Amino acid sequence: MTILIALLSGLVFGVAFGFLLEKSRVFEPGVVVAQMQLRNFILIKVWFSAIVTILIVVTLLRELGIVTLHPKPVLLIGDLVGGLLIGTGMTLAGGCPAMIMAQIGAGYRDAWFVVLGGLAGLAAYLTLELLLRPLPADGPGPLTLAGLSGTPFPALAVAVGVGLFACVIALERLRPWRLDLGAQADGIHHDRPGSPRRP
Amino acid sequence: MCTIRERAWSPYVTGILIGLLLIPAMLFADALSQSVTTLATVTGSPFTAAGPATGYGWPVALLVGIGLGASLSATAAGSRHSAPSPIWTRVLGAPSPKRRAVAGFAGGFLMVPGALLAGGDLTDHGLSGVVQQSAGSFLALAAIMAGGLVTGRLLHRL
Repeated sequence: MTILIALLSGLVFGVAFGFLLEKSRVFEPGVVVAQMQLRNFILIKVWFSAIVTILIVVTLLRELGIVTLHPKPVLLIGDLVGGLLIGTGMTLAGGCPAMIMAQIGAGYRDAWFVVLGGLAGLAAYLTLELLLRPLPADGPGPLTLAGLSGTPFPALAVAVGVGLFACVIALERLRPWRLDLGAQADGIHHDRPGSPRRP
Repeated sequence: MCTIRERAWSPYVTGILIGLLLIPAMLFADALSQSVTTLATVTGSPFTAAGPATGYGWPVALLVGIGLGASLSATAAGSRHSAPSPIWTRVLGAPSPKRRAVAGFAGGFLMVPGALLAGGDLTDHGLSGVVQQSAGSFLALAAIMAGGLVTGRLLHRL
């Protein structure tokens, strides 16, 4: 594959992905932070809808033998410590890296501080890499839920899919998504009790 | 409904479209074995692979594309932002650009090493990891949620 094809296809996928992130409002810091405070459920609704879609197609492709899956190895300490850092960082920053790029595209200039922090974090990580490298090496290799539980892969896929679908239905009944948008569609509600007045 | 000039599309429509979009992207990134959307692919995680199979051009172009796509959507809908989100005034306790800068910097500083340690971020573990039923991804997701919920609680709730 030539570098030109890689660049062009990455750009095309990126434009489509960024467009959808913006339209879904899931990139809004107001939506991300409020999701972590369990006050807004747009992020979970978009995320679960995407998983169920991918689950159906990928499980079918796998059953038909068209794709082979390569689950990542379990990194006990890496997954746990890394996950905690991601969760904390995402909440402080107001999004994961893809959302931060969408924020910059949509005009949030303050998101550049997150990029700066990320680059500094990358530099710090690379500096400490030799110290950190032995940490996750104790993992048991790639494990899947199907492998761990002895349940066939498609049966578990259906169970996960149905479970997530039920979650989304229940959340929507509890709180329709339009209520979570806010007047400016940025997840901010100016009329909630105790909220500051609009500036 | 769902025109380019509309500010918000249904989370279900966008979720399904994002899913459909990511399937070829994942297949393209070597049959789901690579991180698709994160900085982990830019650098390559030392723990999972020597480097991204598709080269460094793809993830960098992807991140630039995300910015362009969001810009296109926001411009068409007239929803471009010129000031930081009001959420920061609320959760950080004051309308302070300095506080937002510090919190944002800290967030990025924690998030990138986290994604490198865990071999992917929310999008990787939460989408391709879950679909592959990877036990490690479920572990990472539980940790991401724990970190997010605890941090969310520590911030102001307004």
